[in-house]
Amino acid sequence: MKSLSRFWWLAGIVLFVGLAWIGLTVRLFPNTAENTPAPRPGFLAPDFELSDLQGTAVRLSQLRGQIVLINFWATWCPPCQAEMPALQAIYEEYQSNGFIILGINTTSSEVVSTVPDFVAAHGLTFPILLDPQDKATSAYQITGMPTSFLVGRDGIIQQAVVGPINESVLRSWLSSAQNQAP
Amino acid sequence: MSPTLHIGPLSVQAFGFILLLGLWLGLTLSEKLATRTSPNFPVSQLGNLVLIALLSGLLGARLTFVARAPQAFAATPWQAFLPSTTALDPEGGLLFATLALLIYRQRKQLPFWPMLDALTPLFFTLLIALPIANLAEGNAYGRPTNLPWGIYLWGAYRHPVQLYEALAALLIAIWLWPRRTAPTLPPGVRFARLLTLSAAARLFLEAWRGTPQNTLATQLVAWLLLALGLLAWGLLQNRPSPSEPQGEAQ
Repeated sequence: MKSLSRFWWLAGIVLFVGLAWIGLTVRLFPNTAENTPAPRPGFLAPDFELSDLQGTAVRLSQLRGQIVLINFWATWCPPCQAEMPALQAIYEEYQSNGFIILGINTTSSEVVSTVPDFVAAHGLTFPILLDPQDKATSAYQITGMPTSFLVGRDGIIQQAVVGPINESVLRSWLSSAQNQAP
Repeated sequence: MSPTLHIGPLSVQAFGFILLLGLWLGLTLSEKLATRTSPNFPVSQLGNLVLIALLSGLLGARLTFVARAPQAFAATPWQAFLPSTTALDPEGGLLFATLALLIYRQRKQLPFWPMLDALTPLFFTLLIALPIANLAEGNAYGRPTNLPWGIYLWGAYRHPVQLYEALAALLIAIWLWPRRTAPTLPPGVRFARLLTLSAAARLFLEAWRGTPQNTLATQLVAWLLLALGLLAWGLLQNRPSPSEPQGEAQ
């Protein structure tokens, strides 16, 4: 009986210490957003400047305030081809709400002349950027394609997906991203 | 970004592979140790329990994800059935898995506390495997640190909080390991100890997590689980253990 009573006393002390630790954590370890760029949800999206098919330079940081889907793709990648119609449809649907897709072609693995034909064949109207020196591809540590990153209005990566994106899943992410304050 | 293991011609994602390995190892341990953790529990039911919880968890995770954004699936409802690891809600999965486990237990009339005791080796193996899988994937990373054992991840030296968690779970597993010579514990006590110690470890280590999440909410949930664990431990520890005559306290 005595040991039982000691157990409950100890349990009470443990719970009290636990509460005190929660209070200490709030004071000593506040949640702060990290400003380090990294290809990871919760981090600032690594910046890049690449040219589109017309030669116009596009810089990611200049799109701050918009929701950006960065999609790494190649013409020879079947899942990339498969997801393009869905990306185009979503782009048309959400473009007017401050949403943009940057389709980054991993040009170092391509025959460059095939890219415009691919874009025309799929009727893509969102910006297609060329990455001949793998600048963005290495900054985003791309190991497989397609890989996509959804960047919020604040420039922070919200989602990262390796493999083709499910259209409905992207819609659900966009609806929550649109509620985010810029 | 998402490391893969190459086994012959196969390429598998490290995260999923380590979790599956943990599940297999944990289930094997649960079955092998059941005579010591839970002498009166039908061992043959363990595999069924895990399979049912796993399938229900996956189904529940997908259903909850769809239910949270039904408008996104309104135009293409068939996409709710496509295999995709991105369209899963972990909390919903956990809820469905728990409910399925309880329903199955009720239908098969399996004893509640002995069932949890028998599953304890599986739980502690998963508690070791999950942070290791997170470390392999770069998930659930720690806060930046200048300490010499910091690991370089996502642009900074960070607390290897995944290793802290794995180490804490390993120590808990060693303490809870059902030794052949140790007396059998009353039903539920081994599980209650696991719940208590794991919740305490989570509550403590959460302070070094660097992932953008609500630390306060996670710690409060851990504190509630700690309180539940202590309550169960205190209430169950004086019950008779399976090897003792009824009515005799430990």
